[in-house]
Amino acid sequence: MSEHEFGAKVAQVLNRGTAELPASTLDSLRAIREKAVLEAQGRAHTPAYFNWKLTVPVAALAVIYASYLLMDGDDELAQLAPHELEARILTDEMPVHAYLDVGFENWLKTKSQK
Amino acid sequence: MAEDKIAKIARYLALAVMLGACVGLVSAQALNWSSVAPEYQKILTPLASGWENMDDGRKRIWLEIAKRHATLDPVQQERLQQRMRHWASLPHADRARALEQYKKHKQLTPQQQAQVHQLWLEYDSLAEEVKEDLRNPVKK
Repeated sequence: MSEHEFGAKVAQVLNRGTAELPASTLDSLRAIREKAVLEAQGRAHTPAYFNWKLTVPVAALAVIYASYLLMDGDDELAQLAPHELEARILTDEMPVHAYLDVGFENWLKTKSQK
Repeated sequence: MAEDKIAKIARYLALAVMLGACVGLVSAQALNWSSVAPEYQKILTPLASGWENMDDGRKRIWLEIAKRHATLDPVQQERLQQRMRHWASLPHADRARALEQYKKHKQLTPQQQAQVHQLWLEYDSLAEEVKEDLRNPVKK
């Protein structure tokens, strides 16, 4: 028996099997298939660039960037004497040049808009 | 009589001016590098070469920072030593801008601050040409 003949034989058996299935089982299978087709159509309509996994971090970055633009600064820090404020910036985790690097500012902006 | 009074007032004024000049002189001398206490000189060593060119206001700020040095943990002390000279060399406008940005950064939640710090580390690891393009986007 050739490969083609074998395939035709298997299909014949499967089709006979389907014809012999009870009506309720056939209805369930039809419903599942229709649901799967609908879901596949829904996915096809979602734009390729839209990714829920990216939405959350990008939104968080957008909030941070907006905060930089809108905030007036910490009230507690505003009360500090100049030497106290300078001592803080000079000992902070973030280096001073990070606050002055326009490239970093632009990069932050780009990332928050992606 | 009136002339005596005018002469008296003039003498008081001259005395006040002389006293003021003396106080100013003593105060300025107190801010000379040689007059800075040895323990503060040690902390402020990175600034020694430019100290005499600094205005008195900046000198006083650095002396106050030196006084706080003992209250800092070792990591903070090291950061201070590394950043001192760069900070002192910045124009006033840049220092003011950095302080404003710092204040805004500190208004974020601790999680957001950590996120920005992480982003800084990512940005800092970019190739210098990439960073240069980001600094001058119009040139592209």
